[in-house]
Amino acid sequence: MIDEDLRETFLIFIAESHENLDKLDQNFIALEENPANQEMIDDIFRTVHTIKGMCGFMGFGKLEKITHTGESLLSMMRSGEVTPTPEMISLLLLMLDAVREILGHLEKTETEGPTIYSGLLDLLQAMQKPDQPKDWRASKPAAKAAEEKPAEQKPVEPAKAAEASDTQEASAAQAATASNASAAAPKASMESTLKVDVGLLDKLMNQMGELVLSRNQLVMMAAGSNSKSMQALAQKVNRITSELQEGLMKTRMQPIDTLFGKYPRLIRDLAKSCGKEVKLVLEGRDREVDKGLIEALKDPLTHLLRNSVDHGIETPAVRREAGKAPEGVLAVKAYHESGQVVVEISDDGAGIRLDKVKAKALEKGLITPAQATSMPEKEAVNLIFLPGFSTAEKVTNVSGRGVGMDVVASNIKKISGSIDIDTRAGLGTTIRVRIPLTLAIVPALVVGSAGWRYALPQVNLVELLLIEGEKLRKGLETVGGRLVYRLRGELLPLVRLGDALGTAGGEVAASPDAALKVVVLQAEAFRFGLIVDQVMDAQEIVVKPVPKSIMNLRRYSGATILGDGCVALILDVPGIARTLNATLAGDGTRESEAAASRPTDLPDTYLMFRSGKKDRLALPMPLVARVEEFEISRIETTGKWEVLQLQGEILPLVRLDKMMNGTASDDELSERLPVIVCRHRGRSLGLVVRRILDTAEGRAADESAPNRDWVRGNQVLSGQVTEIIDLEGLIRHCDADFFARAAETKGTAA
Amino acid sequence: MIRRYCAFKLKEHLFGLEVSHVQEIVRHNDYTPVPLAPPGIAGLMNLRGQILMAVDLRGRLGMEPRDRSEESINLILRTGETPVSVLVDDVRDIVEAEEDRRRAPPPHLQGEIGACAEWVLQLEKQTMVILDPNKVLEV
Repeated sequence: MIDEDLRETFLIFIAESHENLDKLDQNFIALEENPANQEMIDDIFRTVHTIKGMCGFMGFGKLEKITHTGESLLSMMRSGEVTPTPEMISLLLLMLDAVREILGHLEKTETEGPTIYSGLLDLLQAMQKPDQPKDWRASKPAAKAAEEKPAEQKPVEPAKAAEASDTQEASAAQAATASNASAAAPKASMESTLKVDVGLLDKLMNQMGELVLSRNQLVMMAAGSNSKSMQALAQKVNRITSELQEGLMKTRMQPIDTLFGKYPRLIRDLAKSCGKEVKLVLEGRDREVDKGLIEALKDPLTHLLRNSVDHGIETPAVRREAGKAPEGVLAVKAYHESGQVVVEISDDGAGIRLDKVKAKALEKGLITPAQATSMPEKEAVNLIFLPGFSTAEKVTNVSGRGVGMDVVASNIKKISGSIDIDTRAGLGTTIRVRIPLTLAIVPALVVGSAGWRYALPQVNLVELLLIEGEKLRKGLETVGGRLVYRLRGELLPLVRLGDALGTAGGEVAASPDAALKVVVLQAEAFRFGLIVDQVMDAQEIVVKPVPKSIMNLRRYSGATILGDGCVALILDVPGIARTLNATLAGDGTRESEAAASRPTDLPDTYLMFRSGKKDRLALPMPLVARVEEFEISRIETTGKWEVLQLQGEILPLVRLDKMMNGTASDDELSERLPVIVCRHRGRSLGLVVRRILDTAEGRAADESAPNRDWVRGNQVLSGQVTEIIDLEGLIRHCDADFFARAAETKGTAA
Repeated sequence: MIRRYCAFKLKEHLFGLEVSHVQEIVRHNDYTPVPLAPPGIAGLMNLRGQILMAVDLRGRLGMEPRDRSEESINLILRTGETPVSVLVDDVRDIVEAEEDRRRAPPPHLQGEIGACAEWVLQLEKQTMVILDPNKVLEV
């Protein structure tokens, strides 16, 4: 039992010991990668020594004995009598676990617990045999001298010693970011800190929110008043509030390293028990996240990591066979994006077999056969989030069924976050967890649409455009039914805010000549313009959460209270971009893949033409054999096709003049229409159009995403947006068997 | 044991909610509509700096949905973490009744009203349908 006057000391001891143990975890792993790191050994020794001292003071016999034995081994490492080996490190890590176990007992029962650690103690003592006659950390000559006595040494040592002295200077540059973190950690503990009750901080945060709202109102009122002193005062309050708010937000923030710091040890243990080799790369460890979110992320992230090691990364043998390096790479990154915190876990393992996923879902009756065949890949991967799903072939101790993904997903949903998976068979998997910063104060732009106000986070804002007059007439195009604007040579898709939100009225009512107010937004790789009724002012807003049912709409990331007390919804720009993308053909990734497969730098020549009154189409010149003109009356029909007898050939026709516009154009029999005779895969084909325009040069690499099946993409040719026809697609669209029937047609030609 | 209910009207129907569920009653407070929200969600409103969801109880119970131009009274209900505002036409006095006077809802109470009804209480002039707030808020 603990003495009353020692109670306070006891509680501090427990808390500090846990912190020290976490630090030691990381330090040991860093040491394992770089056994010559003298500083690290000293640091570890000091920490263990401190813990041991406290144990003695508090009278915890078992703890004292264990830490003392560990300390002795570390002392030998420090003086160079033994070299840290992976076996020693493993043992020392086990010692840390034993200490944790006893601390756990102490916290609960104030006794050290029943376990006897004699086995551990014996092993620790056994490790303390000095194994080298000379100090391995001395300069290279000593290493050479050691080499001369091969019989007495494990063959690994000389190589390690030489490596060690070479890499000692380069240790900072090594990928082992753990060593960076442990260098950083002492700094933090040296600064003076204060323990504060989290509930108190919460209260202060709420009041801060109120202050920000009142400040907004005050600034609004001061702007409208005539009193100079009032305005000056409002400015002062404004500035003080901003600074206060910034500072207060920081108090609740903790670096995500609170979580990441545990990963080196976790991954090391996991990898060893699975028989895999895994290199852990951590990025963004200093990214700060609200304390509450860190708690919520702990379990889901751990689960995802276990999955990666257990099911994602293959064994070294399998990897070698696949031509990969035997060591798998697991990268965990944290960064801020669009007002959210993103944690990305990616491995270069085997990826998720989507065919197996579909098969399993089918087997479990979670989807119908029809759904299985029609489901696109991007959706199939989400099947693993369905409850009752599992594709792990074996149940392992490490991650259970390799599932609980439904639990992971629901835990993340609880904090209003989202999770998505990107996987490629044989290459690896990347999982992104996004969580919103709930109580956040963000700069935003307020806009109006259909009489209501909405807030757009500044972080997504690129620029504001006022499109009127000349620019309105020339720059605005309709490509495939979508409104786009040519902004400095690039095509910017436009959407009316009312349409994006499914509300009627607003921007639609304006006459075609009215100026358009466009807010250019960027979300991930996608840029688009939002047409609004009014652009109001920029202000700092307090982001307040909205209920789940509203978050699920994927268009709002929260709500705020404006200066006049009205509620305004905060638009979720990536969410809106995503819903847009579903209707616009192509998203960033598909575009870049397509671009990669096209020849890039040579300019291509295109033949431009019209099939209707206003459209602009083009065909790559290499496909064009010749251009002719004919009277419509000469068109004959055989079976499915309309054909033309031209220069002794029977030419199947594709009536582009009818296709592009849906309805048939006026068929005046005497009218003459141009036909573009194309040759493709040994067959001739005639494209009937309305008017040939010109030829122009363009670059296939500049094409943007297509809007139709038989259009390859859009390019700017001769200064105007033009659709480039995909001839093969067009033919297939008209008649899938076209090329197969080549022989028949030739046979029946007159 | 005496139970106390907050009685309110939706059109000509009388409903009740146990007083313990009601945090406060607020007269005329504006709400901002949420485009594309499921029916039953009238929008969001500001209560002393807190943003609450406003439920159109008429729409929620399958009655004629509320129009913005209509006057509403907000019943602010205590739920889990954040209170929720429920829009009603008019609020009456508190009704007190012995617990054993309440009856299970009759089978002819169909649809959403039937789903949300917990009890019925026969009053002098009409029947009051006592709602289960948890069911009501399952939007």
